[in-house]
Amino acid sequence: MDSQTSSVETGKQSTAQLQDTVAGIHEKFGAPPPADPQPGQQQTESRVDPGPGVVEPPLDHDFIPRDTVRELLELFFSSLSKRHGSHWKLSGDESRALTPVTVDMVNEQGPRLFGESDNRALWIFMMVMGTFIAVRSEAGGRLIEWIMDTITGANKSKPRTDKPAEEKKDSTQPAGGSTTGAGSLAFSDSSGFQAPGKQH
Amino acid sequence: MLEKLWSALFVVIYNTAGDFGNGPRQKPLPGFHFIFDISTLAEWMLTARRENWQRMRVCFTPLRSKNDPLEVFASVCRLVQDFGDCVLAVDEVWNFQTPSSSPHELRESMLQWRHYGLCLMWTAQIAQAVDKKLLTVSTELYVGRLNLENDLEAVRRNGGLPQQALNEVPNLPDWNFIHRMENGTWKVVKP
Repeated sequence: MDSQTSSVETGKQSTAQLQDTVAGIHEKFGAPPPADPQPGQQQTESRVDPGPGVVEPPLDHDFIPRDTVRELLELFFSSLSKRHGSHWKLSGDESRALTPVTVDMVNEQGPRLFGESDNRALWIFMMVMGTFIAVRSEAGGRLIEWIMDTITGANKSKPRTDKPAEEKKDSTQPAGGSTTGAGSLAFSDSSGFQAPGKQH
Repeated sequence: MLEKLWSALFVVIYNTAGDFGNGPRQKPLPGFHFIFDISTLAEWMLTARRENWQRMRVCFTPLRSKNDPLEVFASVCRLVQDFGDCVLAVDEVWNFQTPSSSPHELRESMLQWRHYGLCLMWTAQIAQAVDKKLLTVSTELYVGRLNLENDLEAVRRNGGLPQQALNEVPNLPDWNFIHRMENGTWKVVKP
């Protein structure tokens, strides 16, 4: 309890210290200019209501906008619901609950895979379009179904009478599976040394 | 540097040379917020702390202004110290140093980083212009191809690079680096 109290006090203290520093900076360099979009800065967009009590970082901290991620999730499960029954369809609460973890995953893995690729927009476009096309097409739908069955273990119990080879032949668009090829990372032009500081 | 940054949640990049951005010939930084004014950066970091954001990734590009560049840099060092528990990545750090001195605020970030919970990362294309104290206290180094005698000498004397590794430095291919680890061992890192 004591440690909790002292940690809260330390937090308050450090915020107060930061506040002083910020006030000093405003005094020295002037107040911040009005929030016009700067070069390279993303425009403000509307976003999905995160629910009560949830504090979210600003929009441009997300690798793919939350709204897009949520719509993709809903689309994906909606496609499954057509084949497996309506219980697969996500409710509003469910998609809202799933969106943050998916966004976190995309934020973590997206930059690793695409962050420094010259063709980042192309790969993401291919992946998103691939998903959209796949969930609409019969072959793509069956492929997704097969993947989900494999993940959930449903494939083990039934003999493989369906025809994955044929499905592949029918499928004109893979569901973005090959996009990881873009993951070749390169260092910045300002090559040199990089290191965290060290204590004496 | 970027590869090391992706997993960090609280990052301030000091974009000295303007390498990063969304313009032509710039490296994009997805997930980063771009700020060009020191007062805006201060406000942004204060808001992040007050609202308890779970992630704050900022790329600060100090555009030319009437402000003294060294004062702006010193203020950013103060900000990250007060913010605490974050990564400060400074591009072309030698702009704020001489081979024998650094501004007080940077020196604190270099030497008392643990007190502030800081991780200082830096890059420099001119090794001989980097404060030798920074080279000496750095836990890890990534050394790309260097040809000038003075640069090699700076890395040899202050960077703790073994002679065998140093011999490789002038002949490193593009994007290859000698990685000198904290325990003194080294290896060649390829892209």
